[in-house]
Amino acid sequence: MNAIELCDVNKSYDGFSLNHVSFFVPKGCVVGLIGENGAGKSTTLKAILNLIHIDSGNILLFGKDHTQQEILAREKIGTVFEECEFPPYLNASEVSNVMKNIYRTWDKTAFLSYLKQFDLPAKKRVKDYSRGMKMKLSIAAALAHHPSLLILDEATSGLDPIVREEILDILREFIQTEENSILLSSHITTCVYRIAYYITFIHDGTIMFHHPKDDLTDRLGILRCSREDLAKLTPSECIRYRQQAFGMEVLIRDRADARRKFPSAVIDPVTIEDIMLFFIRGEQL
Amino acid sequence: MKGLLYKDFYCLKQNMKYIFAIFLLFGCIFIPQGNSSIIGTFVIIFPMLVITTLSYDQAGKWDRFALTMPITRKMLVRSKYILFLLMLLFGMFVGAIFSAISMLFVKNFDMMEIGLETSAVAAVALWFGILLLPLIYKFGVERARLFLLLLFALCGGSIMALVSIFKDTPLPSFTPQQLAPFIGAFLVISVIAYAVSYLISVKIYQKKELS
Repeated sequence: MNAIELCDVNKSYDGFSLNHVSFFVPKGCVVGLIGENGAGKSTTLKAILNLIHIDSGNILLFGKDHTQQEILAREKIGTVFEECEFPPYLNASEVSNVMKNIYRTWDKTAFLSYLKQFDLPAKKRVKDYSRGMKMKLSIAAALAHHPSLLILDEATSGLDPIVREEILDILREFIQTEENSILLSSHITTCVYRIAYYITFIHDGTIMFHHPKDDLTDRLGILRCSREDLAKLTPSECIRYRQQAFGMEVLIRDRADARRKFPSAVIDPVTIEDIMLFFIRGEQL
Repeated sequence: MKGLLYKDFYCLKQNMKYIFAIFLLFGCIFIPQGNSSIIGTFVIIFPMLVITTLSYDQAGKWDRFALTMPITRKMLVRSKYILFLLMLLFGMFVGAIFSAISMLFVKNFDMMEIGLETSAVAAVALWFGILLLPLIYKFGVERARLFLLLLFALCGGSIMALVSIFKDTPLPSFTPQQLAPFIGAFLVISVIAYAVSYLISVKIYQKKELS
């Protein structure tokens, strides 16, 4: 079963819209939602959480429509949103008192042990926390009611590499349980690359692809060739190409295929960031 | 939903000490004179603190965060309406304490009169909630604050106008016993209007997009 399923979701604003967004988060999986700032990542997550009302389409949470049994579904979800924090006047132990009266499954002991692990003082007010500390507090709170699905919006952006690594470790531990799933959005692709099984790329409100990560990085490649060589490629082989100072750079669907076709050409593996750039800046045959 | 109220109490806790300091000062000045108008001030001011909690919520995008938890929009609105009532009762309670203290200073204190006065002010305070809360949910705290100012100005203005119109006609004087049914009826109407206001706020907030 899928923890989250979006089917042909549309939502239009003045000057921006989500167009036919469809993808899913399988149970036990980490799905990374990537895209530039303003591509529609947060809007998609807000739609999943019913913070905004979609114009058309279906969103299923744990197999049920996301507007049905909201309370029940929410008990099983932990969320961390950028710029969405606990009120500045609370300290961590007050946060625990508040959450204890919101989540039936709130586990104070777990929360306190996360605080300890994250080095967060229980009596200091949120307003005196650093950005990284606030983020860690949100993550501790998101985990302390033992959710089976985490929805994280830019949870690692703006954090230093050490803290980011700590958070990734926590997420890896969380996903050890087979029932658990994570949907995380980020424009920091390295972070997503290190943890996600599936990569969903959204650009300008449209899903460009939704693929297992290994498929992407094992098979796709960058072919550096001349303009004449580019003409020898079929549209199905060449996903996108870009004109560079010393020739063409082509994002190809299959590295092994391309090697047979152009034995002497330079063919490099790709990173998620390369793929993103090709999709945004490149052209199609 | 209890968690939401906890959160708001923590919010008010930090403002409370300043408010109490001011009231102690006021109390020291007014109580010995036997001036009971201080009670009305409590009954109005305490529920108004709900607006403070709402403005904190808005600044920190708390609602968006809360709605990712097992909390519905209805529960968010309901918690504020309950908080408003609790603060009103609290204001009356503090007012009652002040009047008890006043009685030590002024011998001919009329409990009936104080009771009626407090109920009337409570009903007026309810009307602030009745009008303001839906406006806050519709337009946000900042713009609703302007409405609050407007409301105060309107109240003040109409009282001034009434006073100037009737300044030459001798006002009929009522005994508290004669006034009681009117104030009671006003209170009942206000409570009903408060319930209607809650339903309107829920309706407004259900449609709201929290981006």
